[in-house]
Amino acid sequence: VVVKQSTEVIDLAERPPLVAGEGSARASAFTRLADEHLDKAYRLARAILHDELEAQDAAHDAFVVAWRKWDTLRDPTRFEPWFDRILVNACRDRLRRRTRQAIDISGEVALATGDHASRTEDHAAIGAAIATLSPDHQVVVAMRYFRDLTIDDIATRLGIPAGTVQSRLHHALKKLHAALDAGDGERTQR
Amino acid sequence: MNDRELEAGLRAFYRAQVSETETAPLSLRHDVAAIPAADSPRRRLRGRGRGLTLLAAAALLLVGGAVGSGILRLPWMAPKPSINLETSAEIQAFVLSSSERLAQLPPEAITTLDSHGFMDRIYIDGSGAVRIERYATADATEPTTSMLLSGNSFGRTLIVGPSKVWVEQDEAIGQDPRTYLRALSGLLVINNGSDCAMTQNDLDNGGTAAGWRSVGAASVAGRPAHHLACGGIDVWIDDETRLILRVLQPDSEDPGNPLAGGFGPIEVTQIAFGDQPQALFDFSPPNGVASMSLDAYDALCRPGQDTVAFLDYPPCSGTAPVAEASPTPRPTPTPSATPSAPSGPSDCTIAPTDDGAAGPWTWTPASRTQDWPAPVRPEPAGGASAAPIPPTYIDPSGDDGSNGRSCVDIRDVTANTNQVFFDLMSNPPHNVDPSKAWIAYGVVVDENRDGIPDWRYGIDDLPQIPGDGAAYHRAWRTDLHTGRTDYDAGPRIDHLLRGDPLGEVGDTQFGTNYPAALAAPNVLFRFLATFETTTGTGTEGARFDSPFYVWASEIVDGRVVATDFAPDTGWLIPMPGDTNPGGTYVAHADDRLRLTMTIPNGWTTDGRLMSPSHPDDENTGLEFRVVDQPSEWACDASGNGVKAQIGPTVDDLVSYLEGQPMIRISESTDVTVDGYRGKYVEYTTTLPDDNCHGPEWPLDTRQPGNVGFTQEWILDVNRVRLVIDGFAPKASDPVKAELTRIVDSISIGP
Repeated sequence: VVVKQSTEVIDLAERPPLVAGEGSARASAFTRLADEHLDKAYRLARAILHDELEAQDAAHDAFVVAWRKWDTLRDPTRFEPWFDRILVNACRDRLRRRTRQAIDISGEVALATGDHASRTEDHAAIGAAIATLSPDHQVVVAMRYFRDLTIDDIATRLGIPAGTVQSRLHHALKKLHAALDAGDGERTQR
Repeated sequence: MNDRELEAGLRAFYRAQVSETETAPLSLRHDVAAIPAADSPRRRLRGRGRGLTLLAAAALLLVGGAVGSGILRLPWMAPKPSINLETSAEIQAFVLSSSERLAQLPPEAITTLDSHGFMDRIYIDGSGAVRIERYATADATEPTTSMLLSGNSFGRTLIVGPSKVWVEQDEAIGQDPRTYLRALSGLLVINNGSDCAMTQNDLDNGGTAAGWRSVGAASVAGRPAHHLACGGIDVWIDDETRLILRVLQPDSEDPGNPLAGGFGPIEVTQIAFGDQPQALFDFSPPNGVASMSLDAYDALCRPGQDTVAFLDYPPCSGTAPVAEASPTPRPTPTPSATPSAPSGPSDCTIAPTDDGAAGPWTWTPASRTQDWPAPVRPEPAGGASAAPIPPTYIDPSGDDGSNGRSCVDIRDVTANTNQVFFDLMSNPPHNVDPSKAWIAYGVVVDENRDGIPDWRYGIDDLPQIPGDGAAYHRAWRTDLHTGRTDYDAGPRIDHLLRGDPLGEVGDTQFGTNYPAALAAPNVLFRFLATFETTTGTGTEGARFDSPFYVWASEIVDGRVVATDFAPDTGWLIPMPGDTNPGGTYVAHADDRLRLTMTIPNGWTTDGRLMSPSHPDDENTGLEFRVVDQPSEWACDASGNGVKAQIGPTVDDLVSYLEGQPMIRISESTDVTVDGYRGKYVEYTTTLPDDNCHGPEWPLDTRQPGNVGFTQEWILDVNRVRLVIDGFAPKASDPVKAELTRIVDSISIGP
């Protein structure tokens, strides 16, 4: 018998398992749902972050959080909206952490929307314009136009009122218009 | 490019960026599959300790679901602590005393609850012996596990095969058993930094307690306490006994948008001082649990190894000995000589009726398909009057016909043509079996406006489902003329947790929140959902525009013990959100502060944010916030989102704002709102709102874009820092005057 006479041991105190086998059942359920939703999660992270490696990291971070918070998922059939919220938060935090400089992107937009702009260049212009949006605006734009979610579904996933989603989308589109129009103006001057 | 072209361009852009058939890299799939093995359930508690991951608001909501408004709404006039913590030395000494004085805890019974619904009961006797029992839910009557520390011995339940066994270990403890209490119960605090020491061990390991700061006085479970914070951990320590009463750690990874359903705080919900039954401290196995010697346990489950006191071990396979036929009866603890003030939910705890005989309305499984058995509100001959609902309808308190059933005492009602929701004086208890306490909330509608009720909508509690939270409920609608009831027998997930905005109930649909839910403290009935399509706005559900009243009721032992209607007479008419008639409005800055004010005609309201409805005023309004986190999202001079470290006082926040290079700020002046003192500043900027690539300029806010001018009232409300922002695209005397009039009308309460 080991006699412990130090409170150091107390840091090792853990909550005992309630039911035999609970841990393995939990892991099994998590693994199954994670596997089912991984591709979709990865694609959403790609759409928001525009970067493959960052999307992988964000998806992994989100699944780690989901595992840690597994007990709060009360209905496995609702895994997707529950997990989307975790994933979107992970992506948004990564957007926030990116060091960005306030730059004038009108030139970039103008080049991409020039007279001979190809479809690829159109996409580059839109991508550049999206990059000027705030993280919150980028998230709602991706959920609306990549995932094709309704306003209410977005609100549920973000935990904000539907009116706020509408407001963010409204302002995001307005800013995208402004960014693309600025590009058009620059192109005309040239 | 018009909107439709832009939307089409965005869809094409995303399709080009990310193929619908793209799959995650194999390496990511492997990494995700390995997560459970790398982060097992045993480590989860430690992760939670380090990362109790919610911002205070959502965490409080969670616990609101678990234990109700005792946590959600702190007692307004908190008992004043006896000591002042002003200097850093005083704060450090106080924090360290929380571990130093564990061995001085008097005989008492302590109940703790965590956001997972686990409840611990801790008993301490006069010799310092400690018994800790863990329950799967707050309503469970038998503990799942038990442990006992007395003298130098330690005993606990462990799992062998499908059974529990009781294992005792002599000479296992070298210190007073009470010194282990915190670690072995849920009140474990993980050291979160070298300057956040809480124990002598932390100091011995080179740490300091210099990082602790005092947030202010508080009350937890009716006990005067000090709220202290360090390195993202918040603890509330009993002023007198120095016991940790609450632990909370916000998630630095998830600022500004907490996850509903995430980890919540651990909190003492009840303390009862006084001698406890001595039989609780006898080393004997719990009812139905066989005793097993330590040697036998080691031989079966840990061959070749020693069993270490305190450490938890996974279930081991094998055959447990059979329990004795007549186990030692478990004594009933004697409650307290000096019980603490009851928390919110205890106001609605189950209490039998006087004569003990069951009344006619006992819940049965068939009740899931039926209307609430008690009648609707009586109506006067000729029908009662109907009037547009004010921005918030305030219902009198204590009008539910009971003596303190606060969970069916409606506090205020808000509605528009999409939904109606209402607040209660406290939330109902967690996971209550309706056969014991049947608690329902609903809406009665006069569809044809003849003064006679036509429909009764309702939600009520369901029998407990092991492992589930209180969000599960059933929903129904009854035609009061024919008696036909359409129902969703449940379990029904709260609206805010649903992927769909509404849910089917027979041939109609509506969304609901049951107020014990994890996601929201309100009762909600949502009838109409709107969503955008590429061809315009779509809707789902039915417009809610008929006169209505709301109701709450509780049945115990087959009898109605409390019913509240709001209003008690007359009907309220929902108004579209943009045609509020003006009048009294209640906003919640967070779960601690309830702001009642008078708003002009036509203002739209959205909880913490409100604004005039006129399109020209799109970016004008008021926002209410509590700014009291150890660090707040803000924006640095380069336009990057950063976590700003701001001291706890009003002056600290003023100083922080004065240091922001992207705004031009006025000199602060003294101001008083509803008797609470603070500072008033105005600031302007010509920078675009996305200069910081987010709404976190200069502090995290929900204000819309194009805000160039801000009036800011920063108030000390009993040491809670309330910030009221009046915002507009530019400075304008009429707008300033209108916003100031609203702020001047504010009264602040819990």
